[in-house]
Amino acid sequence: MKQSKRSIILKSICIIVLLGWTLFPVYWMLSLSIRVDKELISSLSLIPQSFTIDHFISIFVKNNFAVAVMNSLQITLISLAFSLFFGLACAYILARARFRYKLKGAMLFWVLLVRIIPPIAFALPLYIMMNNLGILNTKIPLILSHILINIPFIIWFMISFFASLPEEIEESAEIDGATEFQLFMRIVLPLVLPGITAVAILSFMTSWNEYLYGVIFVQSPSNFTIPLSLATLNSEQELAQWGSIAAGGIVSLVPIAIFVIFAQNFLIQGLSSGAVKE
Amino acid sequence: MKRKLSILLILCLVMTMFAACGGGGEEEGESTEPAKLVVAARGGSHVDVLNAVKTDFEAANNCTIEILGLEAADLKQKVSLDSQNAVGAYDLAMADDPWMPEFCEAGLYANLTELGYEEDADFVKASLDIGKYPYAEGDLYALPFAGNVQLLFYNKQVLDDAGFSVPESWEDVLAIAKAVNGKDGKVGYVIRGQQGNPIVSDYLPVLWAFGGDVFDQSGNLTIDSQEAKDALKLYMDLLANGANYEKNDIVAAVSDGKAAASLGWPSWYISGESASAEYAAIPSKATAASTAYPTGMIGNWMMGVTANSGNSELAMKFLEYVTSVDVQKAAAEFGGVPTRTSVFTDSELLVKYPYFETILVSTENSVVRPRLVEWTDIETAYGTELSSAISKTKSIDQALADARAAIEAIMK
Repeated sequence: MKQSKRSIILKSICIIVLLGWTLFPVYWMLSLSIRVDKELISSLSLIPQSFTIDHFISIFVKNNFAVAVMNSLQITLISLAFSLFFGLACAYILARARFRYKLKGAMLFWVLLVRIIPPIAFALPLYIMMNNLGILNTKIPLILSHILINIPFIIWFMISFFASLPEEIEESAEIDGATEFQLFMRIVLPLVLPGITAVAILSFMTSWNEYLYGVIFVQSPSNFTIPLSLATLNSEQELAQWGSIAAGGIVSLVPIAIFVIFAQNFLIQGLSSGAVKE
Repeated sequence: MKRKLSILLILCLVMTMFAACGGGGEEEGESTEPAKLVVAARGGSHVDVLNAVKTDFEAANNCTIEILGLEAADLKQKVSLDSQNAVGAYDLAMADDPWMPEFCEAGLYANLTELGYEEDADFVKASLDIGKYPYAEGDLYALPFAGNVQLLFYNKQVLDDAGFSVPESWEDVLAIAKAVNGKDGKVGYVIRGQQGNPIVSDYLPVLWAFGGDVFDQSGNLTIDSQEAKDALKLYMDLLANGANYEKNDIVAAVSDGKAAASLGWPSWYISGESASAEYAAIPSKATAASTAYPTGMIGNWMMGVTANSGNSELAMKFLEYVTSVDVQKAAAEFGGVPTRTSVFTDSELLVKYPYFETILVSTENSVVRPRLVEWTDIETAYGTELSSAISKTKSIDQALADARAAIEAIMK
């Protein structure tokens, strides 16, 4: 059906507004990060009137930002790997297996509860546990807490994907001699790849930007993550270092952007890799 | 190929995991290794100062010192949490001065007198008193690490153009604001009216100049007294002849001559040897004819040895070192404000940092915020109501009455 000129113009305007709405904060952050300090403390124009990379240099030289980036990467990737491993397995079992005594509903609710309760409620008990285990001076508490946040989300997100798969496909594979593990790895997972990709992107972002547990568990500057490092650049009795904060924000966007671009391929692959042979 | 990639990925993950489990890189050493002190500090210039001066101490005492710089609220939260441990992660902790009653009451700081510290009269009394619990009378629990007191900052050119000199009363400030506001796109006086700590810190000096206070000498709540109502009325008049900005914008406006004056902490306007605006003590009178009261809000950053420090003797030694005359002199290079009279009045330093004189005078005539464990909550409630008044969602009477009710509920 041919679209009318008016409809095309209307859609274009909507898209431009939407793009502007979503991308402007990124543009603004970038524009703040490249302005000299003097321009940052006077009335700001939409277009930067100066250019400098000093803020980027400053965060790496003065604020040890490279350590924070590496820590964030380490914590995010490890917690994501574990969360996906356990989360996907749990989601599949909860979607497919039959439980006695209506345990399934109770288990689902239990999992959801972790997500419903405000994260701060877990903070103190977790802190005491980690402290008793003597692991507060490591990154393990952060990794574990990120796994705790992400697993329920992955389970709830993926259950519907697994449940919507026709059981006949799995039965066919079983008839062909596939073991439970082969069935899960080679048949089921490729079919829900779009879902896995989407949940991986969201979990990655959750972990990457997590601040609360970071503040509570991190005991050493050598374990600082990006959000913690950026928070120290703004305090009540000193002026906020907007240039450095913006530069840190831009740097922290890069790994997320790379991960999303990389993961997008799997979104498309997953959609196109059907169960039926052509 | 896929299998190889998977193996490589798993290997990378396992290696990263081991690295992560390795901790902060500087593990607690065996007895032969140097001792380690961890200082929980407020991020920013304080960390710069500590990092700059710690090396000499490390060399002289065969120890390593780790400085954990945190945003103020996070610092308070972490130090409070760590106090629950038998042996704490931090040997020394910094505290904003209003936190002192809370920290001391919770037994978070070690008693410095019991650790063998002898009171040093060189510290400005107003600063040293903050480290005592009960305030000014009890034992010493923390030493003033960084000096800080609110000042009046003004743009000299703007005042000159309007034909005014440095204001001596709030009546003068209002007159300046009225004369400047709206002329050539300028604003008169800039307030910091955001809820919570900002508006309370910005308004209290006005309240004090009017002879009011949050509590009277007997501890009765007086935030809705006639003085308080008059002070809030003037504060709102200042806003009507000025603007309500966030701190960065306040500094930009006054420094660039787009506003006449504001209150502020020295570190906002002063950096190293120069200040971006002129400074003076905060006006101490409501009108030229009224009684003068102390109005400079003190905001020292204190440092104490944590009660659960595993190395309190060395921590005490480091505390004495970082608050010593020599270190305070050296710290000035990194933006540190002293707390010792001898450093404030050092003739060489005064040439370099002329603002030391004003800060010393203001500190000596400063006022502390109420020494109450509940102050943080009170400040939040009070700030909310003050903000309602200046945004005109409540009348002055209603806002102050509601503030009273909220504070009474907190104090119960």
